[in-house]
Amino acid sequence: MASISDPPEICHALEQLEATKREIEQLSSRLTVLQKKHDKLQQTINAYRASCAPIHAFPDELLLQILEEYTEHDPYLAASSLLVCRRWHNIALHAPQLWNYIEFTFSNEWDMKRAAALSKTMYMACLARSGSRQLHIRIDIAGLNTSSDRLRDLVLAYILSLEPEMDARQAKDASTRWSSSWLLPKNSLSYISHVYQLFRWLTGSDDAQRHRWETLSLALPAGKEDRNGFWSLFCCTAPNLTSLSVTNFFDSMIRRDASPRFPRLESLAVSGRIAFLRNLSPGIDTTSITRLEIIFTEPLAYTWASDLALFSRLRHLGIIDRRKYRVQGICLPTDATFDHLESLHFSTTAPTDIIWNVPPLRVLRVGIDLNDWLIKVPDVQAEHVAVEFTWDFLNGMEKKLSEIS
Amino acid sequence: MPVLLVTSDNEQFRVEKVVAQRSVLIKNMLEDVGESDQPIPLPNVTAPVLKKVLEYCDHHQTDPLPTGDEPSADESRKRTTDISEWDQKFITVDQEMLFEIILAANYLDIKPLLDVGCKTVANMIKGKSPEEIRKLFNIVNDFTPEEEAQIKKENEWAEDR
Repeated sequence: MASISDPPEICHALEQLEATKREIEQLSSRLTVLQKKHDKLQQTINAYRASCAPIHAFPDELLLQILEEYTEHDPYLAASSLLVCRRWHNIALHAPQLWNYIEFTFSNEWDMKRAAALSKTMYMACLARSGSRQLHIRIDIAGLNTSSDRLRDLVLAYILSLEPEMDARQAKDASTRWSSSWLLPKNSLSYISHVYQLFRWLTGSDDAQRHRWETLSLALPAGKEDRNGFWSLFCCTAPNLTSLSVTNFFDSMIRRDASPRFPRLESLAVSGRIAFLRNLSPGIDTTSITRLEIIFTEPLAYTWASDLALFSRLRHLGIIDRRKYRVQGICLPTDATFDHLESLHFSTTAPTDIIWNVPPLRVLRVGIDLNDWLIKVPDVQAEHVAVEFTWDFLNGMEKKLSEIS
Repeated sequence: MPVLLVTSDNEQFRVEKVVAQRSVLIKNMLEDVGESDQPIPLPNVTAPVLKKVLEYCDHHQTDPLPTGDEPSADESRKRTTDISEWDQKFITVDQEMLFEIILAANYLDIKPLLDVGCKTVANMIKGKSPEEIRKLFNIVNDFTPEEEAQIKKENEWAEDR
């Protein structure tokens, strides 16, 4: 505003300044109106063009079928489909079947804190988007290493970057010697603790979401302490869980005070060192399990007791020996009877004794991996028989085939 | 006994009943009208598309018909996107024809053909970013920048994979 002491030319300039401000305001307001008009016209054009794309001739249920095939129960792919266009977004977001298979995979991300936080957000999103559907949880932490292991890997990579021609074995030995001479800081294990906290939250909070768990697949770390630590987290209650699969399973992990409570479990698959399973009860009702698969991976002698008799309602039984070095054959009980058994998958060496107290089977699969000729040919009837051979076996195939027939 | 099918562009196809009945729609129509040599109109299918669909039905005429007892999507953990060699060769067509075949399979109710078509489209978009999918199918990004930013924020967890 002009003051009486201002010279006339300044008064004039001030008037012009006010007028210019008013003009800017008017133009600015007009620009906002035009921008809105522009956006609206662009939206109309986009909507029209989007509707003309041939894929939009598909009804929603067809597009959803394509999305189901595309995502194959992977919520990460489902999330990526949300960004294609408005229609895909609406279809994918309101299809609970795209969100109820939830996978957590951790190996050795350097920013484990962020990885764990993102996984938690992913779980919350899937939980909300899957409506009331039963959840299928898959957790793979088999690749988690302790800090010293990770340090050794880092040193190994560094050595190889300096000496690319170095023999792999020498480089590994050097990295072990080098890294073992270092003292790790006290909080060096904290990176795994972010994952630990995530699963403690998953298994410890909110009973309602655990009521929706239908299947759980768990690949535990190989290290003893990590394995036992993570296993104890999953000794929680999931009242509607029907299927459990655990790799790196050691029966020493199961104690009366560390046994999962899955009362409706029907299918159990374990892989690792399994000498007995009896401690699984009472948290698991072994008589309600109809499918059992046991994979032996540890090079130990097994003196298998009568645990199998606990699983009296089995319809499908798999016993697979994948030990690299076999100390002796797996001892199976002869006193158990399986009246309901329909299929048996048996792949092991030199069973000293085996239950063949079974009714006629629908399917029998026998893996033959023998070079000592001690297998006992099963004396059972089955509708379908599959025999898996190995090269060792093929050397004496003629004799073996005559025994099987 | 042959069946007479009439397409939307008025072309006639005389095919064996066993081939035509791969379509649940045609099978039901034949059951409704009984023994008759009346032509069956297919107003949603053009001649080039029906020719292709009949090629599929002819090849698969001895396959067992779907019973409806197959496991649902939820029952099988991971669905295979494998397609048999013959089907793969059969479905190697341009995008327009592929979409027409899918729509025809849906209309004629030929589930195995519909599955092959949907799997093929799913395989086409595997490994592609949203932008690449838009480009592939000529889809326009109709989100406002604010909406797109909001969706990205809500799904930030999926970005690093």
